Amino acid sequence: MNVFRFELKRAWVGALIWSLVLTGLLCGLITGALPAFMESRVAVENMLKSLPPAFAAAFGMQMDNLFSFGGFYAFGFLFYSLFGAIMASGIGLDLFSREKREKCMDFLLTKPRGRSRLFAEKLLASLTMIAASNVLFIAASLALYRAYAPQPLMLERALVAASSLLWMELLFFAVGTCIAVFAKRVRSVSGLSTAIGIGGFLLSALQSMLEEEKLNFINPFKYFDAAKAFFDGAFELKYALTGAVITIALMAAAYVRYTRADIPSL
Amino acid sequence: MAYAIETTKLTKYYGKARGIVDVDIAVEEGEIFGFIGPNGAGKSTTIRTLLGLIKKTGGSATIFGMDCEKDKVKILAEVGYLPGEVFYYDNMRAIDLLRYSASFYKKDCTKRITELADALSLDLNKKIEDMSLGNKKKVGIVQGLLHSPKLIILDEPTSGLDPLMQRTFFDLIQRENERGATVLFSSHILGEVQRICDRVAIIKEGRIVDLRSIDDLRKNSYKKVSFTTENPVADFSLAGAGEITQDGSSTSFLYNGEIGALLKKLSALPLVNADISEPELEEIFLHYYEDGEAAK
Repeated sequence: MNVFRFELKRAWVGALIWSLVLTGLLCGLITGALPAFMESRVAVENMLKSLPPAFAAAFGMQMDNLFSFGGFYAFGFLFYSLFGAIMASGIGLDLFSREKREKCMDFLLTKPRGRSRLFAEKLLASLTMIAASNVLFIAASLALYRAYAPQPLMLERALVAASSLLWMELLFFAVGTCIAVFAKRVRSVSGLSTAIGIGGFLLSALQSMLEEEKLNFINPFKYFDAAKAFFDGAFELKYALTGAVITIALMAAAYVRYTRADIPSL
Repeated sequence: MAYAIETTKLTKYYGKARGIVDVDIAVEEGEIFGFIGPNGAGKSTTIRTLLGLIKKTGGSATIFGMDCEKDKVKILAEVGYLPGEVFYYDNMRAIDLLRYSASFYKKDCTKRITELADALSLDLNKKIEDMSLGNKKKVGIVQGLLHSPKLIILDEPTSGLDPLMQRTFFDLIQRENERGATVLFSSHILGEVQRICDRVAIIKEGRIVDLRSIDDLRKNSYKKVSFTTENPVADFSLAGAGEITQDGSSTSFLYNGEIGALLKKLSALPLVNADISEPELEEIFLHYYEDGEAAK
């Protein structure tokens, strides 16, 4: 497990910062913005009406649910998803392109360790960081839910809704991993992961503005929709399945490539 | 006894591009085997196939009787590899990198790391990225030898080392060899191969063109001779001299024969300047090809 420990040691600080930003944003929105938002409901409604409808839609501000804990919580997911996508794709890119970026593929791959095992240890290190980050996020979500949501509480629904970030992050982690493994070279992990996150955000905004149902299939932030989970108790199966299939397919492709590719000399 | 390395018709194509074709080499345990050829001839391709970094297209390759692809992990536990250019993780001290490297082997390498670092006078607490090319190379050498491998594979290892360090390096390799390690050593510099190897394989355009002992190579060694005389020498000829080119008062040729006879011939000329040197590898190859043609 030396590769696992090595990867964790090199990447945990970044993952911790992202986790704190994510959970901090969640706490800030719910404890700070939500009460103020509810109090000045009329003013906010007027403000939203004055915005171009497409703009409001792009930012996920639908009137119907916004003025409830669940609606506001789910509204925040647009941003949690953006940050989560950047973090998770960054972890995939970072860990799986480390040797490529630092030109030491020869070093790692001439050690007595099979490539499947190397892949598995890197994967485990990634999942450990993503899981830890989500434990924090989910715990904070549930605590806030208990403190701020009106009775009766339905903790199960809140849990499913909070888990939507985890599933979405796994998808983006798979995207990052795939790019890391297939790309000839990876120059900047932070630049690329930000681009991937914003790409996801734009797809989501596109779908909200056009309100085209079919576009949900290419909207990675909607595969595991927190609002849907919060109000209906479950994700919509067809989208959740699409997300799961894409995640697994990308990981499988990355695995095959990582274990079989010829390593060119420098 | 199984060979340390044995390849039979080992072939690698990168798509349609030739890597190596039908490479047959057999390296005995305990020998220092040289692998020479110009850049792009297929030395690295052969080595990388042996190490499982690239997949062969055809033929077979074994190390200590084990298949290079199926038994890769077992083989690599016994192999130390030093590439021509060394790069390591950013922001790491040499000692951290070496400890990480050692953590892949099921033995305690701490003592060996300090021994090797002392022999090479390498500061282990320095960050690798702040090191000079030569010092980075030293980290690579320690990294390749710290687990006392039974087979040492060196791919153009001396680039970036100054002559003094090269000498220390060759001493180190020779000591490892006396300890029982087999060494495969690739280079495009004939001189350094001649210095430590028992046998050499010569590779050109992906194929082994010759395989012989160093003694044999010495006996058949070509010298590059050039001299300048006061006045142009008309129709210079000498048994054993080939590729004679004359340009005014300068004459140059490749010579394969008795040195005494050469000197006798030269001393009879009104010399202004004379130079006898090791020919470039390319020039030797030229001869292998011409010899091959002549034999047909």
